[in-house]
Amino acid sequence: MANTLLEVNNLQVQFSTIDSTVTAVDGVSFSVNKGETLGVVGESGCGKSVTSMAILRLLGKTGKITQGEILFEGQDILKKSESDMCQIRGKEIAMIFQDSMTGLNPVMTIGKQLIGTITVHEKMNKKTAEKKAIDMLKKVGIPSPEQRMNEYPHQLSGGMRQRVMIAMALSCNPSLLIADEPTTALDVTIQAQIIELMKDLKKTSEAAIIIITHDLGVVAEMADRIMVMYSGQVVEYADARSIFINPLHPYTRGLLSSIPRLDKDVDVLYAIKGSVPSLQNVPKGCRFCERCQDAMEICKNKPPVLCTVGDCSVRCWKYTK
Amino acid sequence: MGKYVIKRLLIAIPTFFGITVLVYIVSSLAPGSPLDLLLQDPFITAAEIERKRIEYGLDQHVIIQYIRWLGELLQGNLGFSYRTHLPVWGMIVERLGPTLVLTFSATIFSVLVAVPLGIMAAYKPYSLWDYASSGLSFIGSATPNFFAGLILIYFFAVRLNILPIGGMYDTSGIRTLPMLVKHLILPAAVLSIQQVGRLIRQTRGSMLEVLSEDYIRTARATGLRENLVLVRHALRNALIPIVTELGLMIPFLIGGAVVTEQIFGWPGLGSLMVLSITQRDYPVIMGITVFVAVAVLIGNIVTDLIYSAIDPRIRNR
Ligand SMILES: Nc1ncnc2c1ncn2[C@@H]1O[C@H](COP(=O)(O)OP(=O)(O)O)[C@@H](O)[C@H]1O
Ligand code: SF4
Ligand SMILES: [Mg+2]
Repeated sequence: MANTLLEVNNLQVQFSTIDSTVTAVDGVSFSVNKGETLGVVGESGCGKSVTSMAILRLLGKTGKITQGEILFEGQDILKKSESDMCQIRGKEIAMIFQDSMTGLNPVMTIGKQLIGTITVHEKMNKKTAEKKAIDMLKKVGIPSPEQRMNEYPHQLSGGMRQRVMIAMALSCNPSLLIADEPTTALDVTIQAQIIELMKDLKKTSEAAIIIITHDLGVVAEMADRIMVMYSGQVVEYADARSIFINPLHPYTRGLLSSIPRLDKDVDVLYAIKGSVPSLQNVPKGCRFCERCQDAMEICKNKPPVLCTVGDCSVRCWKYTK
Repeated sequence: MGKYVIKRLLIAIPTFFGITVLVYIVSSLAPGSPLDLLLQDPFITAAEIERKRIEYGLDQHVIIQYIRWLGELLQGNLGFSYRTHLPVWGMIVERLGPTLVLTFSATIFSVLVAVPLGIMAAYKPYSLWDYASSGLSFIGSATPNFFAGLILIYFFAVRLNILPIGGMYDTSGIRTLPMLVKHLILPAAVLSIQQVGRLIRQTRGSMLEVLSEDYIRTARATGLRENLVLVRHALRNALIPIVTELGLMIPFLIGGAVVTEQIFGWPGLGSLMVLSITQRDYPVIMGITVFVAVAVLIGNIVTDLIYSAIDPRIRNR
């Protein structure tokens, strides 16, 4: 167990508004070993971002962790004080967000924001911090970094801004990096470049990575393990190889066949029909039931539990004896 | 940056001429003419009035009259007061100091009170603190100056007798700073009440909006403490609409100054304006109006400059 960096057990997150309470994350468990890369995959709204924000305890005023534990290096994050959390955020666990357009402060130069991030956790003089900031920009592949330091976010392209966000996240050498859809807001060629950069990072840095995406293709070459989420729950959790070679859950299969492939000439991409059930109105049986081609009678009435098949966990009646 | 300033100044020029046209039209529509004063002389002859009419240029077309007036105006000549026969420009300059003292101290006071209150309200929305400052904000923006003035005079000057009832200095002839401050407190407080109300609301609103932005989440995720997130990242962004609001408040501030100066006998432009209106002293009324309009124009340009100093996206446009 000494190798485990992060362990999330039975995490439940609820959001309360005046007239309703929704459970956005419902009994999610997973773990990340040191240096490992976990891919978290699922359609928009399935609770990926909420799960990652829960790990940093940044759910805002309406979100509450109502159950479970989050152990980081063996210590329960949920029991820590706010000021201890500030020590963990950015330094131990860093985060890259999807929205590079809006994720940087528009009235501050890139340099100021980077230096600000570096000096949150490390006392150093301005010169040293500036040098480190320039080094970080170089490391994430930003050309003429000295000049970029004095520019504002709106002067940079989307891809460059995302690189700056990555540089900020890496600047304190975190042991866990959470990348929440780092490429979603970018156009295709830039996406490929950022994925390339993430792959480099995986090779060169010792940080464990959680990469969140709605596109299985993004994590295909990067992830060691993959967790597939649906409607706030884990539906399949397995080795990346076995997910791609032998996907168990009907939803995972659906996701896989909707990845564009260069080796097959398909005109129309397969897409899973229907849409995610609303959190206000969760089906009483399997949450995927309405969209599932393999649905059986039992699926409509009884929710399946997560069960183990070989090295995988899967939430589906097909695999329950 | 330089280009932006030049653009703003170029826009101000036609605005200025527009203002002069409006002022001229309105005052020529008003009843009475400069010749009315002559008519008070019982021995005056019709020929003499006609001679004066030509001397004043009143026989000319109204456009010629306007152009002549404008020409004088551009040379800094605002004409002579019907009432005192002194140059209008000199009268304005004499009254300008007290008005600037009053409006500036009221604005600084409002900012110092309202911005921290608004920030705290936004930081803990729907708390007791928030309700208290929102309440204060509503009462503030709903209280007319004259009413607030009377109440404050009643309590602080009449009942408690700790502050003077009006004026800028007392009648002893000695003028000291502490004496000025003592006389300034009540009128400045009255003038800032509505400003405080509007500013609290604006600060709370823009702060709440900024706090839900993605870059605030980014800043929190770097481990920055909440108070530093507020000061370093939220405040400067929230200031942008606050500065705009301050700029929009300039005309209201001047309007408020007219009323406040009248209540407290403050020897500024406002009370000169009221006096001139009651005496139908048109040259002074026109002079002050043009002067104030230009002041508002300059105020707007300064607001824009501050705005662009805060927001790099505007600067680089
Ligand atoms: N602040 C919030 N208040 C209420 N509901 C929220 C909030 N944040 C997220 N949710 C809900 O939680 C669910 C999961 O959201 P999220 O984790 O952002 O999805 P994604 O997997 O696309 O990242 C969504 O249905 C969303 O509506
Ligand atoms: S439990 Fe039934 S409905 Fe749900 S995924 Fe499995 S087969 Fe489909
Ligand atoms: Mg998300």
